[in-house]
Amino acid sequence: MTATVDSADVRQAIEYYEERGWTDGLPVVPVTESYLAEFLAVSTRHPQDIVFAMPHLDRHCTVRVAAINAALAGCRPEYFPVVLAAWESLTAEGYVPKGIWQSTTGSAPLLVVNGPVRNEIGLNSQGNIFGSGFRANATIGRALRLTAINCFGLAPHHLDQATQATPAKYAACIGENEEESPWPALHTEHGFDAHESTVTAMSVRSVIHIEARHTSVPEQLGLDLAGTVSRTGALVHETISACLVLSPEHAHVFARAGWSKADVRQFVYEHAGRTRAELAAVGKDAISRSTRWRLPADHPEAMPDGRPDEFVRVLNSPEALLTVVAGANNAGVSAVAETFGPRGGRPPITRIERKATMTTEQIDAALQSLRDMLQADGYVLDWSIEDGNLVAIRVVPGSDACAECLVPPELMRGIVTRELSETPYQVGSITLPAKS
Amino acid sequence: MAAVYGFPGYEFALVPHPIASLSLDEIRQRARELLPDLSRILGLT
Repeated sequence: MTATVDSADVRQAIEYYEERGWTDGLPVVPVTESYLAEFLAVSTRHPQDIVFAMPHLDRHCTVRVAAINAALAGCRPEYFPVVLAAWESLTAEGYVPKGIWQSTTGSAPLLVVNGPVRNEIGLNSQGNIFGSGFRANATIGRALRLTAINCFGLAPHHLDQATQATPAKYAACIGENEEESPWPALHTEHGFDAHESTVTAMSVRSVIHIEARHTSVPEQLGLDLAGTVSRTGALVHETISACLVLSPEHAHVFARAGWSKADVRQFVYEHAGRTRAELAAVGKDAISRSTRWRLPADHPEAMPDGRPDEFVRVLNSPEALLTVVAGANNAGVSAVAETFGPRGGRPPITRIERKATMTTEQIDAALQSLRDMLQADGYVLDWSIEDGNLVAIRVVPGSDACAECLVPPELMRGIVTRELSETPYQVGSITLPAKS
Repeated sequence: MAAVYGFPGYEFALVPHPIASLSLDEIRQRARELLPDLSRILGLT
């Protein structure tokens, strides 16, 4: 028999989620317990483990809730370890737990994924890197946003008070194009093995496009990057931070001249700045005594910004910049992702913990010999996902079942436990036919 | 936020935008305009 679903029921489910406000405005994927179980099965963590907390809201997100939202977002179960690592990275990043997603600035998480997982789940690191078209990129990023809305209550016009925000709020997840980069990948720069997979989260305010197709001179390209990093509109605080997302072509311009990623950061750090007069012209030549935000020197709150030079650097250190290579190797086009805070120090690169993916077919395979044995005695074994990673077992007698052959429930539990031992699942309820 | 902190009926005074770009005199004016509302909320009037 083939199970059928009325498309009207699916539409009704989608509308139900929408009416509850459990969306980012786009339709979400209906989630059932059995579908959720597939997500929980690929995680090494307990469903009730806390993956992220916002203490000021007295709210937290568990593995189970993160999985529900990943499923709603359209993730495949095998993406879920990336989502979990993203939450861990955001915790280490530090701004989100303190409430930056509620701010008028309107920042969004940008995830950079490194390592083999990119190719295993089809995560784009090449053309259209900030565009659409790739399920892993779109839905992993979206999973964070839906959790923000559904778990933490950060819905627009309510607890999320962003003035305009950024399109990155729908989803912003990119892979580093390690294959076409002349340099070590972001994670290997910081001591991870190339065979490990990682996520690095940052809070971005905007992603700015750079056109520089004309040059093969690294200093020219470096100045173009520095000019973009130091735009005055980005200067709310005394200093800023950024992630340079270089196309392969631009990365090779630098590499051919012998520049490393660190050399690029050093050059941009030294040249990213504005003259005092330029800052005065936009009323950002001093900082507030209380907030350290930039304001005009004649403001009652104003104090000098502690940068006595005529050329005011906008970065605290070269480490206030991250450098990754992403996009197609087809043009001199790059981007500056403006990140939140002064930064510097070690980026929150987080290892993705993966367990072998178990599918329903694999549970069938694990139970096959037991099924064959029962069938020989005239019984049919059926199973279903009960809750999380618990498998409910049901044994139904056929017309010529051997009543004496069926083992007692305790023994059956032991047998099923043994059969499932190589899977992430455990035995839940067992229903056997009553003895006549 | 009031509801999140367990005070769904928490009353507050609303100040029109903008604030950050105002001069000292303009801020003082905003405060003057706010006072009757604050006094009422605090039960002084």
